[in-house]
Amino acid sequence: MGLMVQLLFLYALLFFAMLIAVVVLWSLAAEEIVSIWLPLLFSFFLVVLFGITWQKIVVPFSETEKLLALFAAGYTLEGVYDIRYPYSAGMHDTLARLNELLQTRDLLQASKRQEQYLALQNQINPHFLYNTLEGIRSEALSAGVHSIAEMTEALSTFFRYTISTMDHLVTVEDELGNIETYFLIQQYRFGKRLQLRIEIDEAERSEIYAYRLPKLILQPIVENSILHGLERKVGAGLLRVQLETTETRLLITVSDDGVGMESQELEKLNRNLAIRSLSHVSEGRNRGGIAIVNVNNRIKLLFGEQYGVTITSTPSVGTDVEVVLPRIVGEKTGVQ
Amino acid sequence: MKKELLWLDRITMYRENVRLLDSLSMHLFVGEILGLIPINAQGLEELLDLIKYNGPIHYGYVWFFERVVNDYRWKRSTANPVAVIEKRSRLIGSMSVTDNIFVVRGGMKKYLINDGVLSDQLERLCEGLNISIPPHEPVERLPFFTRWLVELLKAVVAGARLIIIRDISNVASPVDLSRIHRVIRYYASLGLSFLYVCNHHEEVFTLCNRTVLMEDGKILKTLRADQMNNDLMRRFPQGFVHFIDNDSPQKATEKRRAEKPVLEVRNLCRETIKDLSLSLFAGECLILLDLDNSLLPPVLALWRDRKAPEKGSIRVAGRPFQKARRLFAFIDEKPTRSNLFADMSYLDNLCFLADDRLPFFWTKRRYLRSIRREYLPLIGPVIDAPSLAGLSLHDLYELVYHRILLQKPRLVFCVQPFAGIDMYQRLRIIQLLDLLRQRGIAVLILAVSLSDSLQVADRLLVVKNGRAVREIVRQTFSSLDSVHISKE
Repeated sequence: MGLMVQLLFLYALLFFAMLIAVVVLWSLAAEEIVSIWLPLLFSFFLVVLFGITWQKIVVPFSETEKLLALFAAGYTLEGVYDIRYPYSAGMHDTLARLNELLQTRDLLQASKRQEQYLALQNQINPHFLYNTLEGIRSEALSAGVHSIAEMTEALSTFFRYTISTMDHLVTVEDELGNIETYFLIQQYRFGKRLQLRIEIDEAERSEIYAYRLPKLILQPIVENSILHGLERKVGAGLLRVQLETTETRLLITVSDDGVGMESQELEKLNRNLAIRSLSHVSEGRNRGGIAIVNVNNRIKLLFGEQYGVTITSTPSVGTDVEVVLPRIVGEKTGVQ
Repeated sequence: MKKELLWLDRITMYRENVRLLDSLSMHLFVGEILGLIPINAQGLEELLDLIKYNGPIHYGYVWFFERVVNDYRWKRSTANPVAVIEKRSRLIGSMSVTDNIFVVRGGMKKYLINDGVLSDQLERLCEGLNISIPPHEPVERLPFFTRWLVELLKAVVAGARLIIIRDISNVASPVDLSRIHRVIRYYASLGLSFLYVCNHHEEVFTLCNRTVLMEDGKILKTLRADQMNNDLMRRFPQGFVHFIDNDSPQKATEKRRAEKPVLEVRNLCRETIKDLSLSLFAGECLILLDLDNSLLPPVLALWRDRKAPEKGSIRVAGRPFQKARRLFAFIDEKPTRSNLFADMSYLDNLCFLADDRLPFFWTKRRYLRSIRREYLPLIGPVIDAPSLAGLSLHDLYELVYHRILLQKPRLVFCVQPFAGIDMYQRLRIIQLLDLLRQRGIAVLILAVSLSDSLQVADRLLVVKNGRAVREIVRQTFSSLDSVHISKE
């Protein structure tokens, strides 16, 4: 029953109760009853009326208004479907229908993206690419240039993971392996001034390695840290990836000790992370903070609003990106 | 696997259209001691209230033991198992220790109280700590550390899973502080979690497993164990550790030491002060580090209430103490409350002691105009405020210290100048104290926390049981820590 109907019902009930009380008092016709009890009765009804109005109108109305405002500002998608006090049954049904439509749109967008992804994959023809890279590697080895051979092998491994692996949920071990490969390629550019440290509690290492997470969640974050944090830093830079688990969550923190971000830039990025938009699905290239926003949106779409990415950063101190994911154990599933 | 106790997830909170908390995210695990350094005070009260009571928020989630206890969608206003221990005690002073711990608490359903049973329970609680607490002693008669411990035990018995310790070093002496840290570590090892709120990073780093820096209602950075050092803090643009390396005032002081001392205290006795002697030179800063909280009452009696010493002598600029009233100034622990007049204008407050230097000051308006002209670039338009109502804490502290600069006494006595202020204000006070010294004013500070003191002091006089037990010069400060000092 909608808020309006409940309200009308309560007011009607109150009005009839008051009417009956007045009629009863009037029929008694005693002067002291009219002069003392009638004002008291009216005061009582006014207090009850105020209480009902507060409890049944003001509080629910402000709660619904707040959720609608947060939805309009982009903070939440799910909150609006959990509205406890819809204004009417029609509003409740409309929101339910909207939810269904959005789910369908998500699926359509995701499958469209999937089609683009497959088309790209076919264009590249992975076997041709790997064979070519293998050819370069052989030439480099026979010429005695081991660095080129190693670099080509790393590039081949990186492409094999990003293009060929079809699972949407991969193991933490695979994802970390991809980061190490990517980092190795970057190290050919930056040399020893760039260091990577992956920190996992030794007692939990094998357990954490087996957990699953969406593919290519960490690589864009690491790429961002290198390009926007460490590349511009004078002197050595350290990139740390820390993995921790709780009973239900997997916490991954990617920290760099690079140049950090100015507060306006950070605020803009955090604002993009806070506000949910589906436009990322059709976003063509991962540029700057967009890659992290995309990662955040993918996580939220897959697992819900309580998961995602948060960023803290200070100029000349560095940037920390924390990724909160559900702890998923077990077989490869087709979560999309 | 870690057990998560509390997760604040992107908390955003507004009050009267002011954003107090801004996408604040923070984890706290079971058995962890998490340091919280509020660089400024924005949102701190609201954050602590939120952790305790799940009040309304604009956006975000609060998780306790991995269950949502509060979110933006609807109001809950339930309480979490959280206790706060701060300067203001929550114990009933006239009641005994066992009554405070076991009887005065929610969930106590017994009608007949067996004192013997309660005493046994208290003994069992204290077993692991190797500390004995008199069970029937009224709490108000207990020394500071024991009273603090009783408050902690009360929280433990009441089922708190998270204890918020707030600004404890402002009231605890170094000896008590090191004992408090030992107790916190013991309970953390048993699975109790602590949120240690403190403005001194040096103090937080010695105790906590991780530290969170908070500024403008946002988390600036979470420091892990290997990041909690001065090297990293030095890189923050806020300049947290700039002053510890700055020893230029020290050189100026050395020149002045050839002159006569501004303050000479010889064999002073009053209440708990016993046979205290010291000298202080122009432009020098001396810290009286009170190891056992024994100095505050007699110091207030002498310097604020200007009572005479029982024995010994105090001479200020060569004059006897009683005849040197206008030669020294006193800055109280909370100077914005006790040293200012809220109804008077900013300028009148600023010039309040100016007649020390200019006779008939208040009869000549041109003096006032001249001072306004001189101080306007330093203080800003706030100098024209008709009263102090609504002024920020920053403006009020500026007023307190600029008034002293205007008065230019020979000596300033400050009681815990860094108590209860945020990190920005702390840095500003260090600058202002430096300014006083540069103008040749001697500064004597009474402090109970070592981390307060090192950044401004030329010398440190460690006082225990009312006696000076050791003098430490600035050159050896870097090798000091609270535990070291507390073993004096």
